Amino acid sequence: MNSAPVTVAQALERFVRQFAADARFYQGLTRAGPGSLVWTALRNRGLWLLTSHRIAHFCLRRRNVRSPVWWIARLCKSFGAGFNVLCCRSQFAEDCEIDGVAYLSNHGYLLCSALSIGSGSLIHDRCTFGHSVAAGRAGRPAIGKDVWIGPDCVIAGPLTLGDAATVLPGTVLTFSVPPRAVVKGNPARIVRMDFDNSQLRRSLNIVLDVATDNL
Amino acid sequence: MTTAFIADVRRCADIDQGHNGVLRLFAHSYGLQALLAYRLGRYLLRAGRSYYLWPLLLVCWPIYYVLSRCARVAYDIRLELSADIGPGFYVGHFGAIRVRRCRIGANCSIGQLTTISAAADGRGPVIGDRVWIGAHTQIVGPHRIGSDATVGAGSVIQGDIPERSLCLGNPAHLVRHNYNNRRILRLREAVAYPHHAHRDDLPLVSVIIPAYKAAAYIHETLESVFCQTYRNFEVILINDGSPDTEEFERAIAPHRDRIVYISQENRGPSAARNAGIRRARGEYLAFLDSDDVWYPTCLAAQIELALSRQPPCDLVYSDVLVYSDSRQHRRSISTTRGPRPSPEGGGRRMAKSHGGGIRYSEICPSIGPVTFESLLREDCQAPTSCTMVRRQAAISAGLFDENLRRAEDYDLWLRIAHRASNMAYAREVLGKNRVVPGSLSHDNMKMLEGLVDVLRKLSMSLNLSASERSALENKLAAAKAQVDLERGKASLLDGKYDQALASLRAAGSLLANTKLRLAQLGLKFAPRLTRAIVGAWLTGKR
Repeated sequence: MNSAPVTVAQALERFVRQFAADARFYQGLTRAGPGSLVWTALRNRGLWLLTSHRIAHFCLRRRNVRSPVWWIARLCKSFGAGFNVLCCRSQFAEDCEIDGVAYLSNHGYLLCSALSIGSGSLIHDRCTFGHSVAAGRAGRPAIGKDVWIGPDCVIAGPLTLGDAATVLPGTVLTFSVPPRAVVKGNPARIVRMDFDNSQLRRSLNIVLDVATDNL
Repeated sequence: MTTAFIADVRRCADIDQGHNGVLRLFAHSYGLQALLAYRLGRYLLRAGRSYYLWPLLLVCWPIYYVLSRCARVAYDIRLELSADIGPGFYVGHFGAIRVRRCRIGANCSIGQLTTISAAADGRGPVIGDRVWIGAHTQIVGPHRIGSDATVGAGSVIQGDIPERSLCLGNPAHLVRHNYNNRRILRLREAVAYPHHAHRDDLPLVSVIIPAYKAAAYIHETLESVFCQTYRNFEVILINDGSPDTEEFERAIAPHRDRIVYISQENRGPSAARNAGIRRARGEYLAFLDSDDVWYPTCLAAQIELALSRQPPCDLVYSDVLVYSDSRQHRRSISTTRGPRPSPEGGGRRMAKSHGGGIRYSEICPSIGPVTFESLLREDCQAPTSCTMVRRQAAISAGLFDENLRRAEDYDLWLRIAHRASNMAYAREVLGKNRVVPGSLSHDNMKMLEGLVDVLRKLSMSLNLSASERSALENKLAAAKAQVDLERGKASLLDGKYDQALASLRAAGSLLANTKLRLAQLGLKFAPRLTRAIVGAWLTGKR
């Protein structure tokens, strides 16, 4: 767990880099004021959520009581947990791995205990990722890269959501989905294979349905 | 208000384990904070009826207002006062939870993003006790949800949901009847099964499960008990000094808080069952082996049968399905199970239609009324795992004989029957009996020897009438002949021809049988050839 010690300056630099990358991603999606990263950072609650999750995750990974970086992060983290709930209306499991930039909804109501979320994913509001209790199979979902997840989705159970998959609004998903597939419905079913969702991921518009092919 | 809220806190503490201390728990569970405001508001509504409490209201209504507003602004949990929520309510997570104009029973759970409210006409849903409602659920309108039902995540309810069922989907449809939601509700047993919940006049049944090397099967067995439609029972599990105790205790851990668990050193199944009987409080004792399972209606059907007679039966049993997991043993089931392996090979038919098993009644059919003599004549045979005995009858008969390791159940049934008891059986298949290679009842030879021991003991200890005596003598002779036959076969296959001949002769004096006579003849003149033939024949039979 504990890798090479970092100085405060290094950690801060890395943190700012990551934050800038996230903010740029958000900026591309939300089309905030002309070139103003600060404006983006202030406006997007999803970005706050993402940042505070990164801090909490950092604490978990670099558990080092002697390092001042860890202590600073730890303080930010305890502040961040309440902050997530009160301001972002969301809760994130600390050990969820977000490698790269991902968009989390500004509208909140996101309860995430996924194992991982891939880079370039778009997750809209009112989503729950967690255990599936009723089926008696404990386990958590792993979400791939470049995934588009619409609002009001439940993704529960030990499953893998493939890269570039699309989950349409209102889906209750309990099984693994191959890459580039489209799922829909409650209970979920795969309505289309090999769907290119890059168009969807370019904006925050919500699509309710996609053209299905015969499966 | 206080009792309901204390129930809420208890429930919350049960579910969110790891927060020690009520304050810490309170700080971490947002639902509890919202519930505090709700309970206070409900109390104030009722208190408003008494004039002398009006000064109190002046202070408390603003407090309620602030608390409920906080819960609403901070977590978006809205539990409105128009909802009637029973004690032990649990709100999972937070966010967009709306509960208004509805009635919710005791010990329910709801998840985040859930809406429970009345439709436009003002008629709201009625939800029973111990209902689990998942996240993202919408229950809007005058729907009834039965007690113990489970509503899966993301469901949209558009109709009534029966008791003990699981429903999912949009619109919600029924997925399973008789779904057990105890584990996901995480209820304690005392709360989960209020005894005499439905009918006060039904007797308590003590389910007695002796276990030895049963870690692999015990979970399935216990699940089958807790799925019973009959609700008034207690479970007593006796670990008979099993070598796999550690694994076993891990297997029963999820059920640990709702069973009585006794651990003792290994003294055989009789001693284990007796320990259970001594601990039992129920009017009836239902025996279940640790590798067998019951169908959900087992206890209900047996109690109904027992109480249908006047006076109530002392012993009832029903048919079970005998099956095995391994294919090899499936074929030999018919000859290995039960005190009586039929000499004619009559039980050899395999009933394919029963899912790879064979009905116990096909091996040991039950005909006519159950008496001491019919039990002896094997017109009636009771399996261990689907037999229910009145506790008083078992105690009067003197419990299981702890010296016996095999056929001990047969011994007790006979002794109960001998006391002129009232007994009955049901033809329905109410359980499954797993034949495990290496378990006590599996070894044919040992089983027969055990049977001989039982009969010998009974003929000496019981005060028998002439006809009973003759029945017992006949049975004893037949059992001895069977033992001799088995012994003869074994020694023949081992190549001990003299012993084999002696045994077969002893058997032949009672079993007049052409095959046996041929074998004797063969043994006399060409022992090796006979051995080869018999060996081939026996392996062919397996």
